[in-house]
Amino acid sequence: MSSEKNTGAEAPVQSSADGTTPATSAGATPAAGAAPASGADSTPQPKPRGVGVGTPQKYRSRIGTDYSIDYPAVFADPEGTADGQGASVAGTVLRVRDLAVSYTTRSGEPAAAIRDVDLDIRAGGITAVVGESGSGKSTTAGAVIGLLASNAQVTSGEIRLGAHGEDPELDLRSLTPAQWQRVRGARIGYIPQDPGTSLNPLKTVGANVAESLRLHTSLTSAQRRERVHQLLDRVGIDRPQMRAQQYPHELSGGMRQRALIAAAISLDPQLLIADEPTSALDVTVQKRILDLLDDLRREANTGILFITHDLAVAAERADDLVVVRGGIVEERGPAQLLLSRPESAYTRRLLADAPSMQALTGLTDGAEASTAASTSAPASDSEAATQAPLVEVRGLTQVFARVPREETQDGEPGTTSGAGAVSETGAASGTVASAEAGGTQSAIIGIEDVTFSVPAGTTLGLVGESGSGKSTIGRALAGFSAPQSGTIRVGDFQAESLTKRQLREYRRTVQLVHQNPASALDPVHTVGASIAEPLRNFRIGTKAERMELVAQAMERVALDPGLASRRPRELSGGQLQRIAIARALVIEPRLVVFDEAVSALDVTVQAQILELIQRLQEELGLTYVFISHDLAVVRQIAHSVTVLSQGHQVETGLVEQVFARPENPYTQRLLAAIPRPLDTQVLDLQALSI
Amino acid sequence: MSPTLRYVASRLGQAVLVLFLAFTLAAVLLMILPGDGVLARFANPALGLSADQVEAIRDSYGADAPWYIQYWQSLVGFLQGDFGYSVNSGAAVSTLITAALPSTAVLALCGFVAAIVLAVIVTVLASYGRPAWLAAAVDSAPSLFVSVPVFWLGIVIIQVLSFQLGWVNVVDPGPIEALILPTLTLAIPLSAPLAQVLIRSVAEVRTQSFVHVTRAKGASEAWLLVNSVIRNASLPALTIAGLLFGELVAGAVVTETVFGRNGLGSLTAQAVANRDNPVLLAIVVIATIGFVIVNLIVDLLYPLVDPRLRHRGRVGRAARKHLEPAGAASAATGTSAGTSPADSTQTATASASATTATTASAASSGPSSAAGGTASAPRTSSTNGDPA
Amino acid sequence: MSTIDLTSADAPVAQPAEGRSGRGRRGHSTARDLLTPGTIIAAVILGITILWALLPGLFTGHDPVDGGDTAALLAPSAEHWFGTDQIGRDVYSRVVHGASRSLLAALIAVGVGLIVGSAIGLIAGSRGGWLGEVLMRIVDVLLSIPALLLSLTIVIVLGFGIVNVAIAVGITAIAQFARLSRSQAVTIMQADYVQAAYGSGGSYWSVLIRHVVPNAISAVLALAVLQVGSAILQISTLGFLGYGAPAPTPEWGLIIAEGRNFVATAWWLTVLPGLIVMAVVVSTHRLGTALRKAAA
Repeated sequence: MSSEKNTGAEAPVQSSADGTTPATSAGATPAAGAAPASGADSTPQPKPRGVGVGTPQKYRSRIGTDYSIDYPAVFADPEGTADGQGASVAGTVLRVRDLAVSYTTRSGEPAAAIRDVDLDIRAGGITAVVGESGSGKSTTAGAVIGLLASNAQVTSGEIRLGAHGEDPELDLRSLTPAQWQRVRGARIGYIPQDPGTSLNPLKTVGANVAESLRLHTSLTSAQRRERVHQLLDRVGIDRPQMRAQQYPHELSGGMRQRALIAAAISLDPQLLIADEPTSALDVTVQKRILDLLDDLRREANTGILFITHDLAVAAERADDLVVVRGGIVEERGPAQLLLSRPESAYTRRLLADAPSMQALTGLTDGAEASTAASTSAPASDSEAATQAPLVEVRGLTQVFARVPREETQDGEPGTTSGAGAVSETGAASGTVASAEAGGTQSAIIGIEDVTFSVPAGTTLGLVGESGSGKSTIGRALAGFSAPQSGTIRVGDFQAESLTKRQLREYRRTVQLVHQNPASALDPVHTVGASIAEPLRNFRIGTKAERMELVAQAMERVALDPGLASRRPRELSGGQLQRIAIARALVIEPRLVVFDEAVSALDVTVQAQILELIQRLQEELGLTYVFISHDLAVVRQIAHSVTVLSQGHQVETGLVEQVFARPENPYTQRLLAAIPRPLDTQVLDLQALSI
Repeated sequence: MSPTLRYVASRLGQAVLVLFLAFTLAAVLLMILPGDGVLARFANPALGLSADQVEAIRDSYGADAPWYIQYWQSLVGFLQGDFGYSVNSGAAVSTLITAALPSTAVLALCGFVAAIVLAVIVTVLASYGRPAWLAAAVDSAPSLFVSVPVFWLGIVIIQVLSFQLGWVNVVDPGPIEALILPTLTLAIPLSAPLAQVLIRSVAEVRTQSFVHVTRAKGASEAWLLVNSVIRNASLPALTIAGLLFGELVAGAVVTETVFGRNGLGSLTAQAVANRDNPVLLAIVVIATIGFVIVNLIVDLLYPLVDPRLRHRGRVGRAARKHLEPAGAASAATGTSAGTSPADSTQTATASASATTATTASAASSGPSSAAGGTASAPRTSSTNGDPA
Repeated sequence: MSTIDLTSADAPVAQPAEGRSGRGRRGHSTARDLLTPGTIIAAVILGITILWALLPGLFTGHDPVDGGDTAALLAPSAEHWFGTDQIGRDVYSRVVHGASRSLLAALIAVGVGLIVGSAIGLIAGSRGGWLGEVLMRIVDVLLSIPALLLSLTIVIVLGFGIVNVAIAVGITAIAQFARLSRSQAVTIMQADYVQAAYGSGGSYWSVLIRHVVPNAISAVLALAVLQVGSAILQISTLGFLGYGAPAPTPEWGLIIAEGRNFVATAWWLTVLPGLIVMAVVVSTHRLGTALRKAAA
């Protein structure tokens, strides 16, 4: 799964502006937000409500907007405010009971997508629906907003949207299409998953955000423009007037997601459906987006239905969790309860398998957080000391382009002062406000001056967000690109200067495993033929011997050799990745480069593959370079780690050291962005007991 | 030179190159290879010309000169608008063409407009029509229209609409009436590829994520059609403009022959029948010029319609006026998505969907399709090495 | 009857993908999808046409060239399914015998286009570089001359006759095949499995033969079927204009041209053969589209 690149300069997060620690905001919402309920007034005045009203002193607008302005009358709710706010603590925004959705397959038979799903969302609360792919979580969201595929329909159950001010309570199953058009956007907001394709590429960002306003209000275009600027500002996009005129492809992933959030909240809906809003984003960007959602829901008392596959994120942010699997609810309840005492076996397995959960929160049924360090560190440490490193990389440089460092693209509130300051400090130099690695370096497409070495039989983790250059290193190591300068020594080969014949031999030493196994295997050939291809190319053995070797390779990766005659489309992602690994190992390389090899897999499958890889390393004495954006996975599998940021090497060291005592600010920020469910949940308990 | 200017210049340069190569190919085929067409024609004993007279005629046609001289003279002549002389009638080819052009131009224009109208109607009915059987029936119409032989259609239309039903007079019609049936004959097969592309791209756009998101904001299908679908769906239609032009030319030749109209089309047919190479050469060159111009216009139009194809790495003009005056560095900002290594350069030139048989849809592996969906070379056979 | 309904909340058929792997790959069309009634009818029509071409004697007993004593311009009847033409020849038998010429010519045309065009495109797409650029410029030139004019030009050079017409049409088809195979080659070369093939020690040729060609072939074949229909149309157009087979050889375009003068009184001379042509072309279209969907 890709993560969108975040090119903005990383400024240290200012805690005051973030305000995400639950402790500070727990008490703040109902009281602070309510404007003086002018019950004494005889004439109902439009009361400010909604976004920005709740915590004007907490949120500092960067364009000087005073958020206590009066909204246009269309947003007025004379009686509603007091009731809405007061009732919100007890009020339910969404109530789903016994929901069942089925779809008709091509053969005409009905098949159930989800069954007996219950959920509740309180005003101002977040309910997270967690499940792996195909579990039916997106179907649930689709049913709530009434946008299921044309071959699916809700077959039973109840979906009720709570009353909100003047708007009555609604039975969402009984709405006509015309009624739905009034509800969607106005009372229910939708935040989609992929910011890359969810904005109309032919319209400006401003036009995209203004769509709801055009559909539901009769504001003039000038008023709409004004409102769009406010919204963009509120979601933390810098220079909203300019951004509104830009097109989606000119914005980074994080900014596009913010624009989508702005569009969703533009009419101050009572319910927000966030369908995997951060799956495509880098972990630091993800944190900021989640913080934003937290802020918004507290200010406007919006209920959020949060769909995700990432249990850690859900556990960190949500009040209630619903775990689904195969269309049925496995378990539901308050998040802290679920985390500390999970009842269903599936939930326990999810908790155990999610690397971030086990590695950082130590939460599994008493099982040890398994890190490569803890299991094999002692042995490899002493060995490493005595062995010459198999891989030595010095000064590796491959710069495709240099990009003058711009001020933060993802509008971190704290870096606003930087925005104007940056432009004044000069073009190519980095932002002074950010303490980047080598703060005056410009951002690079590619890598510059990377140096590391990998002792034989160990694993080096290459960690970085998208655009950090880690894939470039992987390609150079595997011999797919020659670097501009620097040396790469793998075994006896100098990989930066290989002749064609040497390159062919080099392939027997280094193999690469790709991210997406479905595209790494030729769909036309059987998987057995794909595994045998290296053998064919190097003319190893006769045909019969090759078949034998293929069978052995498949058994080594715990696959039934009978699958060798299948085509890739008949196998699952986990099986395919095993095949890819078998293919890489069949010619007995010494170094295997894994380029995000588990990122596209479900959590449980990912855990299996990681376990397989570790076992193979022990059995065969392989050396690995493991490239990933997922720190938790790297923590689990690597012995040493190198952190990269925008082409520069930021930190290198043994895994325990770097994770426990990171020295570089970027590493610290990266680690801080990993969801820490236990921390937030514990604090919540404390707050409630005050 | 600004990037826009560079883009325009490069497109122009490519167009000129293609034109030159096409002229050369046609000249080789029609002038140099056939050898002595003049001799073949005038040496016919039935004409009873003496050898000297034949020599003189050949001289006047310049048929004696070596091939490269002939080629060069022809090229220079073409650049000046002198297309040589018809072997058949002796008239200047340019005269023949200027006489024939208006009629064909009018017919082509009417046919083109009618084809667009027809294609749009078919698309809307096929995509949004109720009841479902009607939509399905209309959906298969383009497939039928593209399979009909133009000449046969013309004949049948004359028979049915004119002779049997008597709606239109073909025997001695006025100028407008004379256009009706030929336009219809031309428009029906021409609308087919356009309708096919439009139907497919409308269907694809309607499944796109941003349309889903707008639906979730409470938009009705009608609102979506007008505000989102139309513009996005018409992008791929632009790419087949060149193809349509080619069909227009072919249709014109056949239609004019069937309906007995005087125009470039019938001129062509006569030239082939009479082996009148200079005329054919001139017509081929003119048709190629037309094709090249059409494609040039599309190439220049595309970035205007699709902002993703505009120059990346620069803040758009509309947005620029909001930049803070302080700091020239901020002028260098603007895009980040465009320079992300996660995006391949192909995706920045992505248009919404693939065209008919000729382009393949790139497998959108999860990571790199930031612009979403398929990448297709908009028109020419090589990937659009587009701005930036 | 309201023929346009824009008020239905017609949600898209494709569900937004859940994103993770598993069965997340694009679905593979099953055989059942391909065998719709339309496709079956198309295949049957094409089958009959091929049989006409191979064994015309099986389908008709009348002589296509010599009318004998039969009366001219007879309307369609049980004896003469398509009636007779102006010299008493049975039109149906002319059509049946004409099938072999038209199909043969179409096959020649598509063969020329496919072999030459695909070779150009595959090399241009997989090699790239200056060679690719040069090749595609040539293709651009072929594309920029409208197809009919190009084929007329070639016919003038080669001379009239059905084989020459076939070659001319084939040359105009080269560009289409070149474009398609080039874009296929480019896409395939970017795929991970090609990189993996190189990583497994493969050479350029081994990758081309083992990976590029097998993956490109299904799209190219789908285009070939479509082009057969298009070639039939072009060939009959050229035949109609008089550049193909000379009379009295039965050839579909020529048959229609000959019958044209009698269309007012003997409509069957033009309408029925034209319907046959249309049916065959629609069938190739149908099959080609189905194949393309299966290839995608």
